[in-house]
Amino acid sequence: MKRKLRKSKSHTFLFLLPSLLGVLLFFVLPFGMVIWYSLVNRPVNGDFVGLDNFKVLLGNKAFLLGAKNTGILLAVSVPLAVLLPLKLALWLERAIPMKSQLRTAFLSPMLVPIASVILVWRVLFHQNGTLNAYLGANTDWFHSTWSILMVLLLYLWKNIGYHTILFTAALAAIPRTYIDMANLDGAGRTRQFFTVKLPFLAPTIFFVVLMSLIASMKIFREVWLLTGSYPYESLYLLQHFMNNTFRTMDYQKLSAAALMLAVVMGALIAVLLAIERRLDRDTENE
Amino acid sequence: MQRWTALLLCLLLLTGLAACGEQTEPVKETEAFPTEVPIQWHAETLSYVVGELYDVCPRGNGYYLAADSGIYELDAQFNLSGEHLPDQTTLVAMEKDRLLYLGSDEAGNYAILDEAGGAAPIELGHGFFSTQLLPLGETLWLCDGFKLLRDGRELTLPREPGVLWHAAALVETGDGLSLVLTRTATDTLKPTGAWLVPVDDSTEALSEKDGTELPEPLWTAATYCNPASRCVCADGVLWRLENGTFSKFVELSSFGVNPSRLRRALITEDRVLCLEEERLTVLSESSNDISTTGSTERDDPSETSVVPAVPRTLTVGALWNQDYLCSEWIAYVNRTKPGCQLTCRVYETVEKLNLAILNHEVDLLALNDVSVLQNYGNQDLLYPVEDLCPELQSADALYQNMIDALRYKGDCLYLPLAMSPTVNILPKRYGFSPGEAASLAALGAGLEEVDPDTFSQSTKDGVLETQMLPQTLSNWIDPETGQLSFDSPDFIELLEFCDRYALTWEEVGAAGSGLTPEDNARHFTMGIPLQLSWYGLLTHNDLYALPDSGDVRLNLSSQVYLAVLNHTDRTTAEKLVNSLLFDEGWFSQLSRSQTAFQIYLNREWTEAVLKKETDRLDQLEQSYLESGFTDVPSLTAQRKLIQSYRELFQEKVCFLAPASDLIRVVLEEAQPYFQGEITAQEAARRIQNRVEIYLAERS
Repeated sequence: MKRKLRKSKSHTFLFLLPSLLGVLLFFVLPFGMVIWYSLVNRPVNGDFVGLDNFKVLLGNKAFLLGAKNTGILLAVSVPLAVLLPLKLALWLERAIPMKSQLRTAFLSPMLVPIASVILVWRVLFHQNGTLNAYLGANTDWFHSTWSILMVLLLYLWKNIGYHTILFTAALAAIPRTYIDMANLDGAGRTRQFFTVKLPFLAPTIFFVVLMSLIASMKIFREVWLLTGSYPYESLYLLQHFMNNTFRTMDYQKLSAAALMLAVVMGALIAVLLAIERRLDRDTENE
Repeated sequence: MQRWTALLLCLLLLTGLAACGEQTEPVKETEAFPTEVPIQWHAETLSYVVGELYDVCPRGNGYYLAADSGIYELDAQFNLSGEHLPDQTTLVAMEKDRLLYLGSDEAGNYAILDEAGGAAPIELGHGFFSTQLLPLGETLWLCDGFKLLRDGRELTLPREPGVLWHAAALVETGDGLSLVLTRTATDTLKPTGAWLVPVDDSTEALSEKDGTELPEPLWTAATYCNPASRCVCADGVLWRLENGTFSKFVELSSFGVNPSRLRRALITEDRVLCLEEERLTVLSESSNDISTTGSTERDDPSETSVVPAVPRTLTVGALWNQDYLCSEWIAYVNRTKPGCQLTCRVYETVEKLNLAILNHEVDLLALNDVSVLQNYGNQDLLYPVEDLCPELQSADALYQNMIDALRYKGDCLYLPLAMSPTVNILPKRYGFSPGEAASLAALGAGLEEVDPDTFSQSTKDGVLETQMLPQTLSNWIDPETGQLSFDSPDFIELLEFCDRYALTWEEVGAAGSGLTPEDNARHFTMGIPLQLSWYGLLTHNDLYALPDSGDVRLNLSSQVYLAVLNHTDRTTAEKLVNSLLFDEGWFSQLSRSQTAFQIYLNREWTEAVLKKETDRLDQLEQSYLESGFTDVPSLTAQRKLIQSYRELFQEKVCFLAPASDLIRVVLEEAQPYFQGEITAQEAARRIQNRVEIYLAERS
């Protein structure tokens, strides 16, 4: 028996070996190099300097500005990217006309090439553009403290559809029995949502939050296309800092920033996982 | 058994995964012609001053060599074999074993005549000044390096703002005719792509709008084409057409040939002839000697040297394209330094260059963006030049003040190959002395009053980018404290100056004697200066001294700076740096090839340039006096300028080396102001905001 078990384990290991090698080569080793670069003073023949790079980084105005703007964007966009699609999915759950056409319409932003989106956004948010004409305003959307709103709208427009579809599928997967029982017990819509649907939606919410976190990092691409490497201060994100330090070969700062970002994201995801596990347990107990 | 089967399967899988990786074939380097042959001049011709070389073509068993002193017949070993034909002023082409001249026919019209004076049918593949005439069947194609005509009708080339498209050359590819189409950015005049586009009788336009889809460019810059030999010089390499496609044939600078100055490349059965202005280099696989012919003197055979078996090869990294001065230097080193061979590799982006540096693929850098070099300096990747050349620390041979101006964080990390002074002095005739104009507005008003055409060819962003910003950037950025003052009244005044006195692109196109902005750039790239003087002064497009409280300082700029990466072999690096600063042969080469006023860190060399210019002025003055003029104010002004330069070279200088990213940010935010969308104050505020971020990243 033991022999069979040992044999089975070694076979398993052998079959996993290619994937493990891939993970080692394309994830672990580069991550290790990033850690190394963050602890030395030069990319070539560098001397170990401990946490000096991190200290320099925490005193760097550009990094702090990027971190602040990225934090604001995350704090605002992620909840909105969860709540709005959820609301839309609940609305689509009802018997409304043209439901499938609406679903398709929600997904269509994902199909539009990003260059076209940028062109349209430029026209929309230009100081003499469509939005100002409609509002009768003269706001310079690219050079004011409200610039982040423009990015937020772009992010939500692009991602709401996909999240809505995910929530729609998750809602459809909730066993009808529980909803019928809640109806019989006289629970209202709101009560039904919080006590019946939400626990079942927890894994999907977790997934959508994770996707939103990642997508809010990727919005840098759109901002870069709109404003270039050195945008106005309210649009300067952490990824701008990383992109520019990569270009100037300042790998120490880049690696230190990347590590700090990884730690923060890791902490966020750990918190999310804990919440998700808690909600999962509640669901299983039921 | 099962265990071994599983193990074998895993190994097979791993091997398969490894084999799936992309494999690129190594680039085929030159195989056939690794060395040169000596060109022997007949003893009786030692007194000849051959002069500038124009063309070479096969003739029977020998060659014709055209120079500005006449046409020479050479035998197969390049000995002068026939008569020297002095009159070549009307020579238009040398092709297919004959010479053709521009003359007039019996009716008195211009015609192309053969050596006997008879009219020659047009059946040439190249050569007719700079225009190609290519009859193909019933159709006559004409390409002058810019336009493409078919039977007299011009074909539309792509049109794109900020870009100039050239019809560079026609080449027969065996399947038909193809056009070498090149693309140049009008703001930087840098080539950004070269294509090989098939054309035929049905081609009407070469424009994506009209349906022609251009593939990926074949090269970055195509500088020369010889349809008869079916070769193109592009990206520093001679490419030859074989079986319908172009393949790399000879890396020219490895053999001491400057690809930027190539006039003719002729591929025969066993040789490659490379003609530059002052040199004919013949490449052949039969000889190990290296020597080349100079145009004005015969090479001393005792100076020829034998190439060692394996010279050390160093790679010079360049960004976007290879500067002609850098090509000149590489060719010079390869010709004259047997122990070292340089090759140039061009990278399209800074990121790729960074990677190349980390992988030790490049040993030296030849860049025009000093901020990129400073980035490498920040990472301690560059040799301090003083470590390689201790003479930099002494004031005798070199201009110490210029070297001090080059320092970055206390070290001299890069050297200019050659420098030009960027004007900061007002010519006397404009009525201002340095510091006399109290404000930019006064300066602008004064210049307009004296010469209403001063700004007739200048665009607002052009003036800001090329003249105002480079000269004044240090006013707005304190290098010590990093303090910015773009939102100060002085900078706003500068923006208003550009807006008021310079023009929009449309206005320049309308105002400038029928020339569009593209035409202006085109004339510049053709090398025909638009009223440029030797110093870049006294023109319509230059600005002069800025109100600067009387502190006259000299701005210097260089189109390429050289730096040495610190993984390079130190001995070789020392030799190269020292040769750059002290090798008289290199200075002779520069003197022969320079087309603009350039000065050097070496005092003797700069003094030689100033003396040459003084002698030129003396000759000019003499000829004016002989023509009856008693006073020529422009000559007087230029003499005084030379004297001023002599003094200023000892005084305070600074290098204009603004980062391209920084300039781009300023121009982007100034553009809405020039278009009337925002105020100067708002533009200045935005510039300040964005530049703050730029500098904060680097702190």
